[in-house]
Amino acid sequence: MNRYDRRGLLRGALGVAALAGAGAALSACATPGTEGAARAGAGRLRGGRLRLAAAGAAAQTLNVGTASGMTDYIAMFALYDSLALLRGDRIVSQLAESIEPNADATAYTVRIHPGVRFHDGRRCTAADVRYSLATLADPRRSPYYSQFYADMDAANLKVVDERTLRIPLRRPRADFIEGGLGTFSPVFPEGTKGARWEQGIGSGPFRLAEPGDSAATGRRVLARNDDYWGKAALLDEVEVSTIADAEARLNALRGGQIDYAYAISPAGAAAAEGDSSVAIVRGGPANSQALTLEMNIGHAPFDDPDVRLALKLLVDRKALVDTVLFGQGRVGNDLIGQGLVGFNQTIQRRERDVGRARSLLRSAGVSKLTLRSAELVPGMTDAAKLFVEQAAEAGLTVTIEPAAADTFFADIQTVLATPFQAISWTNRPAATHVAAFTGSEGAFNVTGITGAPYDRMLTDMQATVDPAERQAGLDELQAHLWEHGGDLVWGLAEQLDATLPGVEGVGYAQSLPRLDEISMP
Amino acid sequence: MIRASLRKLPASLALLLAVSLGLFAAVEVLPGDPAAQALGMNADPERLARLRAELGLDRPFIARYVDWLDGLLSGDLGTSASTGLPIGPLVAERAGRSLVLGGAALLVVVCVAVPAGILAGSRPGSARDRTVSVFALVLLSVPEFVLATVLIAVFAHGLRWLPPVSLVHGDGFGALAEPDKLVLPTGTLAAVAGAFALRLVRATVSETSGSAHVEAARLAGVPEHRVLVRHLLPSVRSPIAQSVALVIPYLVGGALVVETAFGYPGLAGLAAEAVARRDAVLLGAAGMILAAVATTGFLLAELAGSRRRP
Repeated sequence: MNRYDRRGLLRGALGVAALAGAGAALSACATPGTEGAARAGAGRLRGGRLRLAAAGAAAQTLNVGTASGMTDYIAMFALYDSLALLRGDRIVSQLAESIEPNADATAYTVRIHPGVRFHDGRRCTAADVRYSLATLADPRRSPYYSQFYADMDAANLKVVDERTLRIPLRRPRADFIEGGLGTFSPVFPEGTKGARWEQGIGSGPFRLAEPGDSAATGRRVLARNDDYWGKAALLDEVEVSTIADAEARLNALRGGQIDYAYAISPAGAAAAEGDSSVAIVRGGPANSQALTLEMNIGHAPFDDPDVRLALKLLVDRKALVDTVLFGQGRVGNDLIGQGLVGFNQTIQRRERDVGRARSLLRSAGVSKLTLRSAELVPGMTDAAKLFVEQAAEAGLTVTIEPAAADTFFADIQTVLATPFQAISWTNRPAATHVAAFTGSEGAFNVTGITGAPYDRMLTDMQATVDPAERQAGLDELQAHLWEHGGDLVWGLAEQLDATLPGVEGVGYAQSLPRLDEISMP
Repeated sequence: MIRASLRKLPASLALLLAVSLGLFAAVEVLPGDPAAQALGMNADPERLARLRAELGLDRPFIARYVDWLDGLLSGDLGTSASTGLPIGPLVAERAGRSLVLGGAALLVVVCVAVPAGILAGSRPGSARDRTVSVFALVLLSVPEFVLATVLIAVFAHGLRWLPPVSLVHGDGFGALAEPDKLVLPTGTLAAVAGAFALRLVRATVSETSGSAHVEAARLAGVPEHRVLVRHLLPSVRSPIAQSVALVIPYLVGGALVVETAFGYPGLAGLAAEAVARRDAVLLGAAGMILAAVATTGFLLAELAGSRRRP
């Protein structure tokens, strides 16, 4: 069974929303707003109207199942509370007071905070959570996220009492929080469908000030929810506008038309570095895109571990980051999940060794390769060209086979059957990555890593209820992938935003800014 | 005039029909139909087939095309795949804004480029002609996005006279209430389209300026301004009208770049977003409206051209 759909991954690949799961069992959850409160510090002002611009969809919507624009996602994450949120290297609970698995991780019990009300005054109950999860698990209503809930028995979700819901699973999934609830679990009132989505009624720290006004004007105004059950937002209002082009967003910021430009280009960030009128905010590796060269070990010559190692050794990662990302990124270390929960911190950084790479390639008799590459994100074609030059230093001739970015992921069979290709993925937590991208069950196993021993390692890890033991299993898997896998992760293109000086407290959950933590000068 | 219009109409309708067929086919060849997109690529075939039948996607291409065309003609632009709501109001709003932008640019072309073309063409080879022609050639050779970048750098960031991005929030024609946000996109759009019109007008006027009846008027001692108004302009009205009409399709193409560069929320920008997000319904509707406007421009140009033939 495949647990992730193509669109979800394609969206990630395009940087639409870094939706990925992570975390340990929610007994380890932080309290709501912990990170924000820590960031907020003393002396931050309450009030003000933040004008934010991001790329939007042609048709905007607040329907969590079908939204695709960044403006939609930024608004949705302020209007709807999630049960739990991925905040970099940990998962924090939001609406959920607790999420506890049973002894064999075949069922979870979710208990929500008391006194939570939706923006229309209705009380938020376990029945609303049941409806929300059932909606997210329905492929018709939630095409992007239903695969995250494929192991949840949606028909048998049981309301235990007003605040408690029991979630049965179809098989043991000790990583259900990482792969499901921590990934995407917004809660909305029972019966939300059709045009009612556009009222944006949730229980979040902001409410929609002018429902229904966004579709035509491309703008939404969010107002602070003064009756919020948790820590109240600092800003009075947030105006979310659509500006499709990254350079135009930066221009609008410089021209004083907006206070916050969401997602600027690496070139724009590099140019703005010495500009005191603009502050650059970086998402770090936790909120980034992983830029990879994927070697499929099911195809020659990558069935030879020495060839895979040679390529990992010959690539000059820093040169790629400096040239293609204008230095606005991090060097990768052949693993997805850097900076996120569950990442194996003990793995050493791989250093460049052209001499050894040349000798390994010569022994393997490999002197020519073809790299399939598309401009999935700006700069990928340039990266491929630079890699060709680097490979030549080790005596390897690489020919680039261009592919169309628009249809790259649509033709998934070709992606799965290509021996060597450049791909950009959302940087997901290790547990989520190994579930979808490796093993015989992995829907997007583009490196072809599989086999009974590997599958056993993976499923054992997923069924291990004890968090420490599960992390040990995950560490082992990552070490195995670093040594033997086909991922060559050369860089991480982090989320790059720009604000006017004085806009403070910008923190992210899966590359999306937490509006409730931001303050104005 | 009416008879001429009626004669040209079938060809224009045939062109539009061909465009609509091309647009529908282009959307068709994109990988993944709405059913596959809704269920994800790993959906089981039975379920996919059921949804395809529900959505009518299992019917022949031509039957679906006729249905789509029927909807467009009856004013039903369809519903968005992402919102499930009718896209008519959204398209109307965006079209209204584009009309404001295109109308303003056309006005600038008529009021500035056409007179400049006439002045240059009336004295071919003069310093005035050479200056205007070189200026037009330079503008014409600069891509819209480069010109937009230069104008933003000078007038928005440098002089701080105008906003760099056209964040127009008013609905439809509400853009008129924020004229400062219209200046730079209108200027960019009008500059390139105007240079195109200017060269056409200049060529026509220059050609007529050397004709026998104009030369005769000059030899008879008629003052130059009278030669222009009485003898030259009446002869070039139709070709000038034709040049202006040809600017309309030019503006449609330019709007795709200009609306994106200035973040102007118009119809061309919507079409570009629809392509990026693979929203077939929106792309079909916006594409057809833009094609209809461009075709109307060609039709008007044809009509203006036909008038000058005896």
